[in-house]
Amino acid sequence: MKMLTSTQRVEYAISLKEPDVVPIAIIGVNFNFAYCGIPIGEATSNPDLQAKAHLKVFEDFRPDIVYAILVPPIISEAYGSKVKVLVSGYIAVEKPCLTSRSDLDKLEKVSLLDNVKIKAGIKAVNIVKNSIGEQAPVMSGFESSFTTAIRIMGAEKLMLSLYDDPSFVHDALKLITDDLCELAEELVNAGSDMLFIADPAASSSMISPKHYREFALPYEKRLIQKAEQLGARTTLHICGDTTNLMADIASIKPSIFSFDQKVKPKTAKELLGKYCCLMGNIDPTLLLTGSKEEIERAVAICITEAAVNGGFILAPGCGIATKTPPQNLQAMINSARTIGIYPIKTS
Amino acid sequence: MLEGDVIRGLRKVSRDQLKHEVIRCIVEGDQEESIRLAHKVLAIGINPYEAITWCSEAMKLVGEKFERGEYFLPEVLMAARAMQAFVDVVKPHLKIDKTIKKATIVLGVVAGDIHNLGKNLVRLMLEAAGFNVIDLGEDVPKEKFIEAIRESNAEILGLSALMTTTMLEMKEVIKELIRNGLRDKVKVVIGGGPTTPEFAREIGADGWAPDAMEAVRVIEKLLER
Repeated sequence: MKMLTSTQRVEYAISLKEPDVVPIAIIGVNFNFAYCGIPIGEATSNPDLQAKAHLKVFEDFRPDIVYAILVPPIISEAYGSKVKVLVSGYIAVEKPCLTSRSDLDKLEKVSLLDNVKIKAGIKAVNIVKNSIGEQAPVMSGFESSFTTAIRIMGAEKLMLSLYDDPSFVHDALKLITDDLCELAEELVNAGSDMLFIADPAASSSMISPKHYREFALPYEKRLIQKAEQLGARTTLHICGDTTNLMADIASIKPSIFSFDQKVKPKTAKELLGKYCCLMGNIDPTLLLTGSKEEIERAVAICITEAAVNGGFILAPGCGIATKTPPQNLQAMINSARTIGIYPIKTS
Repeated sequence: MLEGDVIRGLRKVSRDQLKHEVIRCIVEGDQEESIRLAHKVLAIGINPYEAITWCSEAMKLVGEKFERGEYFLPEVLMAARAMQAFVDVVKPHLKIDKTIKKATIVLGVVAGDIHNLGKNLVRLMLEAAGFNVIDLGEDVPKEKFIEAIRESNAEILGLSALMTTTMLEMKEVIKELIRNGLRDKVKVVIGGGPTTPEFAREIGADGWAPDAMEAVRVIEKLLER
């Protein structure tokens, strides 16, 4: 097969076909800044710095997707939560802003699109897209409604509210989803070809499949449908063990489902491979601390179990750590470029 | 049968029944009912210390349900809250001399990480098991752990992290213990999302726990040695 562009390669995978070689993505927005030595606190309000980081990671490692998602807690901050920058290169919510039903009125008045940092994130996507053109798809995105709710309410409060006051949780989720739909539109208008919708808190390591179906799935579905209307591809990412959620995930049809290292690639392929493209699942801990040989072995397992017949993108199973050694990422990419040539050899 | 035996027998029946009810209502996470039952416990003169041990039994069942995938974090949190409510009513009635002096544990989420849900559950479980817990909170610099261990003479240090990046900080805390000559004075137990028993061994920790319920068992075992 002739060599495809990254954009074509990803499109083949999304159409569940075999491209020339398994496409690759690197996920972990905080890594992008750490790798370029840009303090995250500065990056969030500076579109040029953000774009520089996203482009540098793309240029240095040459994956097939430009990863340019909004720094997660800025949405929570825009709603009024107090955040702080941690020494580890992450931003965390220090004081959630949604503690009772009466706070919903305040949230109602917030326009995410007027927030300086969100504007900066959207602008960064635009700069990235203008620079990349059609070389590779640009993937922006944000955390899904349930995970945003957990950030703005605090984990304990939200989880107890699932039992204490489910209608309050739904009201919050509806409000957040409306806002995220508007944000999705702006990101696509700015040049985002794909939307990464991350819902780590919806994982079965946190809540039951029953709660997932009630509180996470319907809102993920709305966001996916919105992106589809806008003509953007979607990547749904849920951390932890998602084996029991895969039938539900199949029903909401993301273009790509990004699965975590707690799921065996083989299992994901069996359960979901017919319904959507899969992306995963090299363990970020391995990328942080493993040897070149260990990483190569993991890539081989992943590709032989999940990439046969296409419909697969090789990527870390979750956002990579800020201190991930670049040579480890390079090892992941080099081996995927070799082992991942179609047709895949399974032995 | 003598009248006294009958009364004692009835007391035993009602105590067993009450115990059963307390355990059920904690497992089901019924906070209001657990407060009502706590007052009943005190009213009929059951030893508060014994009543608190029922909580451990209840949380053991919760732990089993969690392991079997019947319970998830919201259900565990509901149970923990019901237990806390029960303990809050009963605890003031504990007579100090009747409680066994248990070990002191310093607990915290390491620097760079603010995910405190797991750590908070560990604290609750340990407190219910009668330990003296010093909770340093989250995003705790290594120096603060050292300071707290020095001040409290703690026997156990519990470290938690949820992120891949920050779990490496646990190793730094252990190095800091060595630098300060405290490594032999305290046993280190770690836990949290990305950690594994192999990782615990690698960084030189003494124990690893997959969840809050197991943490109590691991710590009790370490203290027996």
